[in-house]
Amino acid sequence: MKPYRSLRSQIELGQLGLLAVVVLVLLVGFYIYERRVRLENIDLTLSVPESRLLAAHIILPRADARSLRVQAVRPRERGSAVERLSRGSSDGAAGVAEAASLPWSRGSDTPRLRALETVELLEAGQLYALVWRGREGLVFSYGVDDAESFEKPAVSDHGEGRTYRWRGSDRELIYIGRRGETIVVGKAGVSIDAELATFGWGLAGVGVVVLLLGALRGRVTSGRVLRPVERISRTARRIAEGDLSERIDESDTEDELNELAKVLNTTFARLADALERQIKFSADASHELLTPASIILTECQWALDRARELEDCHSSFATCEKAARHMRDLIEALLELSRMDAEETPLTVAPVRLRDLMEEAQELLTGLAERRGVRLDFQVHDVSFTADGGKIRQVVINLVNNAIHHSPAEGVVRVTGRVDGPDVIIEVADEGPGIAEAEHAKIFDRFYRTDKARSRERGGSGLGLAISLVIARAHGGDLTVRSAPDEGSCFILSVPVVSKTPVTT
Amino acid sequence: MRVLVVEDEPTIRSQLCKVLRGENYAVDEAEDGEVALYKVAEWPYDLVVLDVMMPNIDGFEVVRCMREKKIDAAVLILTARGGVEDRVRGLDLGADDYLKKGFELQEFKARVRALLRRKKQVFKNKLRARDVELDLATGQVEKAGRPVNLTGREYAILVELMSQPGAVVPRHQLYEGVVDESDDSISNPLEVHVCNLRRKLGKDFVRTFRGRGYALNVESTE
Repeated sequence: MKPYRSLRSQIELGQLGLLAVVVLVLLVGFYIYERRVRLENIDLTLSVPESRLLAAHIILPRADARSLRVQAVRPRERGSAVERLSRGSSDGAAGVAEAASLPWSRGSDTPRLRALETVELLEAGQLYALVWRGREGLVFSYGVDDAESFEKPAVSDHGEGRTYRWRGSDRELIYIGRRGETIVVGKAGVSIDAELATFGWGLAGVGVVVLLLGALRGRVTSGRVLRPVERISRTARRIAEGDLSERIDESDTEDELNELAKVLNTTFARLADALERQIKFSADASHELLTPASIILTECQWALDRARELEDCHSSFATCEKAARHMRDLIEALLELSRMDAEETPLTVAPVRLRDLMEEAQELLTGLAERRGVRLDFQVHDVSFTADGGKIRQVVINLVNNAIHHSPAEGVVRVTGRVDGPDVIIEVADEGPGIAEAEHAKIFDRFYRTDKARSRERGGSGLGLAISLVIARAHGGDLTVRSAPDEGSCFILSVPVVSKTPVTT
Repeated sequence: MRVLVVEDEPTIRSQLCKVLRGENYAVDEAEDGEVALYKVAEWPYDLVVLDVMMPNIDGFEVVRCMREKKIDAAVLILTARGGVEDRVRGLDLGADDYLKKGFELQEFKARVRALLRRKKQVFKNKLRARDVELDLATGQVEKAGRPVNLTGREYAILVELMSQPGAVVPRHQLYEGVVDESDDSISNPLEVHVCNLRRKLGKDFVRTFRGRGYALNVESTE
């Protein structure tokens, strides 16, 4: 057995999962972005002193060496140089270019002075810095306790140019020049993650709140959506338990579920109706069978009760025979109906000549008509059609038989057969008492009798018209009645002409 | 004892009549509720055997009308479907007993006897008067332990007389309880049957009260 999985919790879990993924992605992204921004800020604070150091210890001494003669040509103020350097520090390369392009401008700036400004910067930023220059080795260090043992970053590790690295919790900017000049500017004890922890927890809190709200909202929505489903299922369960009169409340607003409720209600109504018909049919059938059975039983018990005259015995046998025959006809009709209902007996469809079929029927019924003083009038066109000839003949016999029984003495039963458009139309009309409009539909019901006493006397099964209708429908046709009280009845059988070939005689 | 059989199915109706006549009851028949209501108003039936399922006026309606008109014949209803509601309804409307169709003939006859006993205020099947014993169940009559052969009509008259021993039974009552609608009036008059009874059971067994009727002579004068 499959485990029970609530649709509601599935919907809610699905929704919540999606929401959680979205919230997680957003918050993690935000966290990562924030972390990067902070790191970039730190890196920026490292790059300013680096460019100063670059200028002071690597570029300017070289330039100074080359342009000692023009050193004092254009003296400059100290402050502006600091300004300029700090301005261009965001772009290291530009700073280098600028510094390189203005060797003369630093006439009054001594490397020492510039180093001093850099120290201020470093101090302000709580940074440390080291500079190695070519063969001279370590030329500058600040903020490092044991500068001599500080391992100079290798070109093989970092390559030329600027790179950033983590050394433990220290963030360092490393510049390695073409001649092996190396600058390291670092900030010790950088712990972005620790700083971000509070921020991260805040974000997580927001995420949780959003998820809770989402879950609540989902619960409310799914509850509202599924409430009608619960109602439908409750009602359906009651119906399944046997209360067939129960119906789902359709008074809700128009939506898909209300549509479903309507469809279900229609289905329930049809099922209940079919069941009721079936129950009634079974009750009718058993009642109809009970009558001949009790006749036979009573008759036999009467005859066996004491010694009877031969004549009495004869009449008892006659009664039993009649009752048994009636019973057999009933059972046969019931079997036929149930077989037709179950579509167990497919029609044996073959080309049929209408005139042959009608002649057979007429032959069988002439005797009965004569006994009842009724005249049969057959007018049949010579057409052929495709149908189960035996079954159609059965319908015709049944209809004519009924007509004869309902005809007054000296009455005429008119039977016509013709082709009308796509259909073969067979009409059986009598001059009997007719059928009231209200009974037109009912007469095709199983065991329905317009005149109980009279049909009992002729021993009809009460199923003839029902069977005829089933046969007509099985052919894709129909059986209808046109009648009014005191105007006779006309039964109209229409069966489609599947293939129609005029027979020339 | 006069019985009316109301049943729309002709075969069953004639069967019931045949069976009841075999029990020496005077039996009339009605094919529907309307005829039944007419007949119960016309004749003093002791029992009405009534089918429920009939067109137009059904059995329930017949019982209801009968009781409304204070007709006190016992009513045995025959139900086809035999549902509890049907039986309860019939009994509540005033029927005395019911029987589901497809019954055993023995049971039917026994129930008819039981209802008739109650109607006649007779409390057992064996009736006794002097040395004559009559068994309602078997239809046997014995005089001093020796079986006596009676015709149906004689038996019916004897039953009427023995169910109220000593009382004077009016001629018309005797006649109505013995002769049913199937009899032609030319058949033997009552006197002939009474005469035959006297011959078979003892000359002074039945006394004639001129202008009133007949009664059993309970005290032996011999």
